[in-house]
Amino acid sequence: MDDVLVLARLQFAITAIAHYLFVALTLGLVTYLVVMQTRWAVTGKETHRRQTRFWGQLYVINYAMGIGTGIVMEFQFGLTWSGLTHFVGNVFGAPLAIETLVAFFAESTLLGLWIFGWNRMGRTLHTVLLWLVALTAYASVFFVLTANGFLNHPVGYETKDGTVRLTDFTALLTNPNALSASAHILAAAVVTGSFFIIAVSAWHLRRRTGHDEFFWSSMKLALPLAPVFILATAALGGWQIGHSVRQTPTKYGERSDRAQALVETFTEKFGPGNYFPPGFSQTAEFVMIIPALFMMLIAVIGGLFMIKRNLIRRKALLWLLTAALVLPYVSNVSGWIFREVGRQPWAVYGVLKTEDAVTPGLGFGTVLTSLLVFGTLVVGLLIVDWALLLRFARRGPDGSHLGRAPGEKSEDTRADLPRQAGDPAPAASSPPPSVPTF
Amino acid sequence: MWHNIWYALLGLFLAGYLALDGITLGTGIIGGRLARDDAERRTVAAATGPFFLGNEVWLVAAAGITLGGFPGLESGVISGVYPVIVCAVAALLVREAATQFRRRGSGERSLRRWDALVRFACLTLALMWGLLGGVLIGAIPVKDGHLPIDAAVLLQPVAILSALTAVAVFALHAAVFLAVRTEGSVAGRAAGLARRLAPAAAGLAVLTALVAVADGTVRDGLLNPLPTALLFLAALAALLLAPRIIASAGWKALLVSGFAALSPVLLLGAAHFPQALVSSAGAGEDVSVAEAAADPSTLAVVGPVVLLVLPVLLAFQAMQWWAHRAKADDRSPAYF
Ligand code: HDD
Ligand code: HEM
Ligand code: HEM
Repeated sequence: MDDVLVLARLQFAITAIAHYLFVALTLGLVTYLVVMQTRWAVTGKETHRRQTRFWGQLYVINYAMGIGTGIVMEFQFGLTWSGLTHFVGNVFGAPLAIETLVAFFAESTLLGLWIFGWNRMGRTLHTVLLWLVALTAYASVFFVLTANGFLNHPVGYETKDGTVRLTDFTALLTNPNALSASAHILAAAVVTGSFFIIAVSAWHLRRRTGHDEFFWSSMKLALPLAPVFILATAALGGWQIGHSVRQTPTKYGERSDRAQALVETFTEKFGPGNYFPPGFSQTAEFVMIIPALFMMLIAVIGGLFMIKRNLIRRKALLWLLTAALVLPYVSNVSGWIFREVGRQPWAVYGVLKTEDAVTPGLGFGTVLTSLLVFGTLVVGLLIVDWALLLRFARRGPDGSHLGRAPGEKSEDTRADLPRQAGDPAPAASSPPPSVPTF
Repeated sequence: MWHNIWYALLGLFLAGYLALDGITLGTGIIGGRLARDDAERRTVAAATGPFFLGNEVWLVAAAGITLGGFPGLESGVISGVYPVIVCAVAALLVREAATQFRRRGSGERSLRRWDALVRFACLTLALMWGLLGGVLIGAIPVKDGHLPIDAAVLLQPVAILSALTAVAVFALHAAVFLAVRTEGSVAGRAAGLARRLAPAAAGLAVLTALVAVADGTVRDGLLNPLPTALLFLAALAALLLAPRIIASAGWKALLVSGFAALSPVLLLGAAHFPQALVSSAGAGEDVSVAEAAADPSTLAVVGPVVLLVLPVLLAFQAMQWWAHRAKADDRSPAYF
């Protein structure tokens, strides 16, 4: 039984982290896309259109690959955590149900319209669609975290006859734990998106790929905003700590009086046991914050060198700006480990233990199989995603498949033999040799 | 009252999933046979591409409704058919990645390889959904709200036949779609294939039904035999009718084959209502819709929210179909 629990947790942790690696970028990029496309809608300038298409291509790739990991997450509740759905399904499922309908359903449909709406829709309508995509994405963060916030700090419920009932929907939706986490996460996602744009732009500028103007303008957008959003993330993280220290004091170690008092209550209700999470969850807190300091440093230095385009000549600095892309990811993953491992040994803090949340009677072999299947696929998806992102990031603004008008050639076809006029999207040959490798 | 509304919502989203993603699934299975050259492959991709995300998301929504509205089904059934769900979700992931990658790679060979993967994933998915329907239509060994994982349940003849039927029905549905949405040689071949598939699909459906009625345990699951039989006959008629009216009725033919594709949801509902699951261990173990549903307090609070946004969601979907109502050819936007 214990081993089953370990495997089920490992499976959840792997898929959730993978899911979040997609999600952080999706949320960050869509925010920038809204800015880019709105500029295009207002000014009608071709440069803004190209910018939207190039970054939009990367966004769409990442989004579509992220869906798969999200579906795995959704089905896992039924597969391995049926103890959780059985016990708190009445409350916990509600925000997830609203999320899938209000957010994902609308988001996916609208995104499909946006992808295929290039060259066929009016500029304004097309831009409005993207705004709606972004808003539904933010809504999904809010509702997912309402569910997750309930696990960390259960509110608006009562326990009756061995299950939990919803008593106050408003309290559930205004759970300070969820609100503060949503705000912190959104800011962190924009930081992630900023560093992605900075990293790709810096790579092109350093390699002198001939798209200086294009990537300089992207850099001009993202680099000055990065410090702003890092500060916002930190401030909102501070706000979150304020709540979480009071709501889940055991996350912060054994020394505080609050934690000790709470452990006494737990012991009274649930019997003696270890009510503190493994120590590495607190390490994760530092592993989240330290990269934030470096991000700030790098972004500020980079920003200073933007004067008179000095930056373009500083190869080392450009290299650093590209390498810095790992930093937001380290922060993101550690932040989640801090939050979720810190919640242990509770699945629902102070209400349901993780060991009681797992599906009863689940076989070792069964979970092991699904862990191997999902683990392999999810890691495979990540590799495919990043391979595609690299390929399209490298091709530059002329290689975008997104929004390609019928008959338009893209960079990947330049080396092709002559084609019939009007032949659209040709199956690409490998990128022309002139394109450097990453 | 609210649990019945939620049950109808669950039915709506599952039915929408089968009727719409059924097109994508079926196209994955037969697309390669219908398209002979690159232009035709592009036509097929352009026909389904705009709907890919919008179709698939019906499943996400159905899972969400189950999670929020039917924790009893979520915790009992999904873990009970663990292998089927794992296979289906894995196939979904593979299809997702392969569909994304097919045009992003380089060269004809890579396209072919990704297409083979798409076909394999779609076939697996169709088989898994059919298997699930075949298992759930009969009386199953649920006890205390839990369905123990059991290969004998999954591999009974009805389930296997049902899985094969699902493949044939989705293939037929997709053939009708391609015949309606495209022009020229692809459309012609699709219409021909639809006509040839109709007797096979109908035959398999009849065989599944006969085996189901002959098998005592499965028969026990049919609490309302008359409505179930009538629905089955209607679905059968739809299967046979759809390919014949492509030329005359156009998009209406797609509605008819869509009805056949979503009919398993109606059949399951009609066969068991007011139970959600029928247990082979005696009527006392049956799981009723009310028992499977979340607490009335949750349903009554969240239900209105869902009903309120539903028209908007359906309007977005309708917009998508309206935007792409024109016939697709190899010059249409084909992102995937
Ligand atoms: C770019 C990413 C990033 C950066 C720069 C930071 N964080 Fe963060 N942090 C996250 C990304 C993140 C996250 C992945 O988004 C988490 C995980 C779960 C969550 O709510 O947000 C998170 C969680 C998280 C928690 C979880 C507490 C809980 O709810 O249990 C706290 C207290 C902080 N953060 C505080 C901070 C502070 C004080 C930062 C100041 C430098 C900071 N974070 C920078
Ligand atoms: C609504 C959203 C979420 C819910 C309901 C949820 C629930 C859970 C559950 C049930 C577990 C397993 C039991 C446990 O160890 O506590 C868990 C663990 C975990 N989750 Fe979450 N989670 C959510 C979101 C996420 C996301 C998006 C991430 C991604 C980064 C994440 C990261 C983790 C990690 C790292 C663990 C720790 C595994 C361990 O203890 O070994 N969670 N969460
Ligand atoms: C329990 C946890 C979670 C579950 C069950 C879940 C489920 C899903 C599903 C099913 C999808 C695909 C939707 C589609 O078809 O469009 C998805 C995508 C998405 N999720 Fe999650 N999710 C979870 C956690 C999170 C968290 C914590 C966040 C944000 C902080 C998040 C944000 C998103 C976003 C923005 C998308 C759309 C784009 C993408 O995948 O990159 N999700 N999720």
